[in-house]
Amino acid sequence: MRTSTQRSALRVQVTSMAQLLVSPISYIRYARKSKLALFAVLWMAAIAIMAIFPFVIAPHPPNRTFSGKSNLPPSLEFLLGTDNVGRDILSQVIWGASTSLAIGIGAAMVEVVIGVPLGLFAGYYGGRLDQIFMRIADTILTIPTIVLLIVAVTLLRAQSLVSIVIVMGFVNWVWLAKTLRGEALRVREEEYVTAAKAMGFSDPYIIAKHILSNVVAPLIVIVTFDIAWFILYESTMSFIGLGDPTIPSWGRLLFIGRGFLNTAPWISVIPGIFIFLTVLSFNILGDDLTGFLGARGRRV
Amino acid sequence: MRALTRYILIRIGLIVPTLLIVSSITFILLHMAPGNPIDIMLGAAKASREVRDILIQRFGFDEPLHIQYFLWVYNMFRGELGLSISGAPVIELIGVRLWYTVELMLVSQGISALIAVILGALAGYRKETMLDKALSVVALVGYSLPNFWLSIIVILVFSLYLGWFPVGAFSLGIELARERGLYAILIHLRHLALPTAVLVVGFTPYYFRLLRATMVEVVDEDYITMARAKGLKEVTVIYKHALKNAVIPLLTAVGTSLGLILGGSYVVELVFAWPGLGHLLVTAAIARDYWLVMGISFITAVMVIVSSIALDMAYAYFNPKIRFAGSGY
Repeated sequence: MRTSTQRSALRVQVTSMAQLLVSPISYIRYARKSKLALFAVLWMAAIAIMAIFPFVIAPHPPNRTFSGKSNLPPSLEFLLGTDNVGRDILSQVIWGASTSLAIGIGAAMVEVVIGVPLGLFAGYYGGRLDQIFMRIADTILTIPTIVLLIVAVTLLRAQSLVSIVIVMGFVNWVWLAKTLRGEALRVREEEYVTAAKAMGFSDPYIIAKHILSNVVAPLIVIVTFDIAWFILYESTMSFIGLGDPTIPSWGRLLFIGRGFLNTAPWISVIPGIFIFLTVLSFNILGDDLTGFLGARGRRV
Repeated sequence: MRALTRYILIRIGLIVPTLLIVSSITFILLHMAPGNPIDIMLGAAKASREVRDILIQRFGFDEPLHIQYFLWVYNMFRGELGLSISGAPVIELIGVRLWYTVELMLVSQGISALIAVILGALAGYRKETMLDKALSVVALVGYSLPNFWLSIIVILVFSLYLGWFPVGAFSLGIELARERGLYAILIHLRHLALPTAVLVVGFTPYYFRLLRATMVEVVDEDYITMARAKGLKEVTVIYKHALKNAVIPLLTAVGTSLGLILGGSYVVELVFAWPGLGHLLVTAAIARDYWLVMGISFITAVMVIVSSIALDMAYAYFNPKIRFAGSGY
């Protein structure tokens, strides 16, 4: 066990963005102390390997159908069984990992691109701009997310991964922007910001240099939680039948399995376990990073 | 108190502009979509040009887009939301379903909030103990369970294997029409049980985490030490003194995430075939039933806005010292 002094030294060591990016190892060292966090890191490593090297690990191509072998329960030949048209579920789950991760990370990038500048500018300038921003944000928050997703995805015939990613990132940026705005409001009162202003630096420079680097900790935490959320929502969309039917994903399997609950429950149970554990890992990581980065809150 | 009145008045004044913005976003999205409802409705049937034209005229799709929108807004103020492509007035279709959604929401949110308040306050008060840690892990698990997947598991176990509950609420309307009195209520509850349970598993952890987080800070306040020093019972200290202050952030959180909450219940409605608005929305969107989709998004937005204002008033009730003016919120 690390003593509390050592722990706080570790925390100070990584509070800046550059250090965090070069030393994820120090986080792993920190995570080792909590069984939950360790589980999350290991599970995410496994999912990442599945996502990067599916062609090496998966026993079959994900969309290959075995005739006469539909709806088979888990067996030695097909470890996790087969689906309604005789595709291997294990292979689909392995290929699905890359879909889920790509969607989670992609949507997070969309929300960061929109939400970070808007939140920081609104918080930094304050006043009228901020008021207008907050009203717009509140209006967007009144639109129920799933309604917007359903309407956008069905009506735009946008059943491709890219459009789902964009729509989700677009729906969710408001939450990110609102939190960062609050942080920016706080940081702009700091003396080094006043000093930078007095030295004649331009506002965009101050925002990029001083404000941004001070909101990195909450940003990382929020993005971690949001990736979990995006993975969950993508599978929800696929589950409703609004996903891309040609690409193997966990949600697609669940959607198929819904029609075979009586005869082949494993089709929907198995991918659900993967979704659940992945979402859980991101949530644990989010909680743990909150403690690690010294943001408010503590590790579970 | 004047700042508060002003704030509430501003919120109420903003209802109409907000609704206009929400409805125009939906309208634009609808019309950016390829394919129109008439073609989908007619499907493979080879309808003559005349029939098609008559239909287009009947639903008002022959007008220029901006006129269509203004007509919709004009009718909305008169309490009309247009015609569904099935020919029924949208407002009637929604009216039938609305109660089911509201019922599911109120019951599940009520139970979730109750459990979360009791356990969250306890966990926060006894922070860092085994009880707190165990509850937090349970909450994390519940929080991460995909609710549509949980719905499937619950149907699998309780409906298909054990046979305790009906598989879905497909036949709810018919059964209710046949029965009267107490037995009808029982049928209703039996259908309500599973979707409610799934929603409670999803929402309780969310509220629990919020409440625990504020409670952790509240317990270190002087007035809590004071209450303890007076020799008050622990239950009184937790649930009377500390909880009062910890509940405030919970209200704001619920207020801002109502859209999300309602969305979550829409998905669960779909799996259980609960005859609410979520179910109606998905069918309407797939059929490109323009006015019905507009109507449902509109009603959903109304529900969200009205309840968030109600929550704001509750918020003010719990903490009258909150400065509403000038904070930007």
